[in-house]
Order: sequence, then structure tokens, then C-alpha cells
Amino acid sequence: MQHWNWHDFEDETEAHEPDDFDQYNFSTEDEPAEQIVRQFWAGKLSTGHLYTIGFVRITKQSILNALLGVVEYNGQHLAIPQSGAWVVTFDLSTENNEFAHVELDFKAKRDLVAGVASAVYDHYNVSKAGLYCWYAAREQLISIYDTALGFDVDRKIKLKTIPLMSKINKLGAQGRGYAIITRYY
Amino acid sequence: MQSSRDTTKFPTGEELYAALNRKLKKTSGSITQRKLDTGEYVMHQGRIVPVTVIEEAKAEAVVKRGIISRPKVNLADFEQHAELWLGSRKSIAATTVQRLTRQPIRVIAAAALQQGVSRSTPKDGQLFSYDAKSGRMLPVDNETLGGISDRSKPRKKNTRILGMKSR
Repeated sequence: MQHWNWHDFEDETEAHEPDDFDQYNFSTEDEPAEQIVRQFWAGKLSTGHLYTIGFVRITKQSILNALLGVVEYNGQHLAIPQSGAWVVTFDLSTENNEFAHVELDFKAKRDLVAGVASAVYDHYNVSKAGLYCWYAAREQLISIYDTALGFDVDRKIKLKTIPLMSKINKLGAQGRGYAIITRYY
Repeated sequence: MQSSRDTTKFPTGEELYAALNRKLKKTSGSITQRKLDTGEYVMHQGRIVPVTVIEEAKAEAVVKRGIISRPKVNLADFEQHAELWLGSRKSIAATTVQRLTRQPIRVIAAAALQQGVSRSTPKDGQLFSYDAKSGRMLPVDNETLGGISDRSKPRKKNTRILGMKSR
């Protein structure tokens, strides 16, 4: 059993209750979908924002295929590994902006990218997961994800990166899906 | 009769991700409220902000004020410290500021490190010190240990202890 709070995460795995928003059945029949969350501040006090990053464990291949499409990796279709596959989401914690664009100054962008990368790195260190999936809800978020996940190296921003990982971008029907495959895949 | 949801149609990636995001928002709301109740978050100018961010901003403001209100350097002190400037990377002004603002280090004891250490078994009570230059832990030469009384070896009369100021 992981003590996620020791690693600055909140374990928000819900008790198995009918969830109006879980219409796509992230939970299985027997247990709820595991959800781990971290909140962090990006930017200065006056202009920054509070963000929440969430990791939801997926166990169904159909969900993986819907997010990323059918992906070839090492000559085989990318599948849910035994070590675990997680979908990563993040958004503003409080404002209900429906993924609308938020203008960020350099410090906020740096803190945001570093916060996302740190959360993924820390989650990986605890869970030893084999696969992380990502999906950019808007075109404008692609540049942030590219930087956070190491596709677009911005040398001004130092990031924690998962060692010995493979990363693939431009996945899915819209070309906005990402996959991080770790050595535990 | 109301028809049930069409389960033959699987949602797209966007629909799935939107559902995940709604789940995240719901969770985020409960976490935020919980932390407001515990005091970990506070309301600041109508926004929910972690207390640590506010404290950090206050500390930065204090540091900035401290730099602005620093007292002027006495010219006599400046000239005295200028003599001590031995061509380091820092400018005379930086060295002077450093000497004026830092507390002098009062050395209580000093000990030589053993160089060319062999890999023999350490003795009972052996002291080690970290040598930054080599990045290793080196044993301290107990015989030249200054400032710490070694009761197993009583100090001989008129023996000078290394590192101690003569009184």
C-alpha cells in the first residue's frame, strides 16, 4: 500500500459510488479507479494560479486505444502493462474555465512545466508504473506538454525527467496524445 | 419509455479526456475546501492561495527592503578591508560588504586530515571528516586533534595544541 501523502500527493480513490461523470466506466465492476492528485502553485503571488494534476489508473485497453489510438511500440501494439498504466490530467484548481487559454508570464510557465514534470517523476518513483498517457485538450496546451515531457527542450527550464524512458507524441485521431513508456513497461 | 445509453458507441479521446477532467475538477474542489478548513490554504484578494506562497512572497519583500535600507559603509572600514583584498574574484566592494555583514568565524578547534590513507580497519573512536576536495571521508589524525581533550593520552606539560589560540 502506498502512502501517497508522504510524497505530497492526495489519494482520492473514491468509494465505489455511482458517479455521474464516470459514464465511461473508468472504474471496474469490483473497485473504483485509483486517482492520485497533487496541487501546486505556478507563478508569483499576484499573477500565479493554483493547478491540480491528477493521475487516474486505467485497466481497460479500450480506454487506452480511445485516448492514443492503436500505437506500435517495439513491434507490438501498446498495451496496458502489469506495472500499471496511468492517464494524466491537469487543470486550474478553482476557476471553471473549461480549458480556456490562461495567459502566463515566464515564471508561471516555468513553475507550471516544472510542477508537471516533478509530479510525473515523483509519481513514477512511487508507483514504478510502466505507461503514462497524456492528451492535450487544446492546441495551445501542446507547447506546454512538449516542454514538460521533454519533446521541446527549453534550456532555460531545468526539469526532472524519468530515466530510461521512451516517449511518443502526436498520437490519437487529433494528434494530441502522448505516451511515456518507462523501463517497467 | 426512456431509452438507455447507447453502449455500442465508444467515446472519442476528447470525450474521455473531458470526462477525466470533470472528475479532476470535482476532486480538486474537495481538496481545496479541505485545505481551506485546515488553514493550509487561505483567501488572498479573493483567490485561494497556499499559505506557503504568501509567506514566500513576504520573505522576498523583506529581503528587498533589507537591501534598500542597508547602512552606508564607513570609509575608514572600507580602507581597512581594502588592504585585506588579495586579488580574489570578488571586487573590493563585494569583499568589504561580505566582511561587514558576515559574523566572523570563531575557530574553537582544528584537526589535520590524514593524507594518503590506507584502507586499514578504523580504530575504535576514530573520527572522520568530509574532504570536499576529494569528495571522501578522511580519518582525522587523532594525535594532532586540537581542542578536544583525549583522556587516554594526558596532555604533557607545555604541549601546544594545534588550532588553539595561545592565551
